Amino acid sequence: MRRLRDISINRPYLIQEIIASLLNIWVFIVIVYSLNVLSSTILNSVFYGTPKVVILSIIGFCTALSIISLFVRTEWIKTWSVLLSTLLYLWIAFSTFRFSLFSLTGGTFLILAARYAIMFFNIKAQGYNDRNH
Amino acid sequence: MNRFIKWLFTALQSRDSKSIEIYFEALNVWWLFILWNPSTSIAFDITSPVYIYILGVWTAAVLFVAGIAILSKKLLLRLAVILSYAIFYFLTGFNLLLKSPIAPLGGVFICQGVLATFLLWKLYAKQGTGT
Repeated sequence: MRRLRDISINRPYLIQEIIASLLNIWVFIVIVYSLNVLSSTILNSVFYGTPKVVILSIIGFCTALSIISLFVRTEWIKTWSVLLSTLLYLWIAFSTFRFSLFSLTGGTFLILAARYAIMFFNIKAQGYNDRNH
Repeated sequence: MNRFIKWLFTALQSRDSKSIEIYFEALNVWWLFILWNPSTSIAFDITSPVYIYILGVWTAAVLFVAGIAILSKKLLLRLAVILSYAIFYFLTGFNLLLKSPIAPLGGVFICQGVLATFLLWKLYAKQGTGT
């Protein structure tokens, strides 16, 4: 418990990185499940007719990178992981907004993207390791 | 106005929990915007307008209280607001997943619930160490 408390204080971005990984994994599961169960036309219409291979590759790469970044302390991997997650969420948000401006999914992913964009700029400006603690 | 923008930028750049609290506030604003729309009940698959009304009032109340909590820095108020976020996001997330196991927002909301729970823990831990 003490170690968990120390980590929570000394690694300020850790939980946000874990949440980003979980979200990416979730999006990946939803897309794969949709490909198998639902008609592929739904996915194609959401993602502007992008081929399934491309959709899965992009989301799979983002997911893999975000999981890797959890176990390493290399700054550029973390930076790229956050940046790619930001772009992925922006893509999902604007794809959903095409259907309705009042899309709850669209707004949620847009705000998520904004949070990761802020995190990206903070890591770029201040570095990953917390020097103030 | 300039002071507020300056404060906002400083808060977003900070590594403490404030930036995540502001993020939750932004989500609340979006919820209110969505709930304002009359077609929300269709989008949510909720037939009862009373539920939408209650959700709207709750969101507006939390929006207001959370704003005060962020500005006043009162720990107990902040903990109460974050606890309500955790309960709300877990409940809504599992509710959406019960309706459809691949509801995209179900998983997203549960992740927000996890984030709120961790934030609660972090604020409590910080208080314990006196930092």
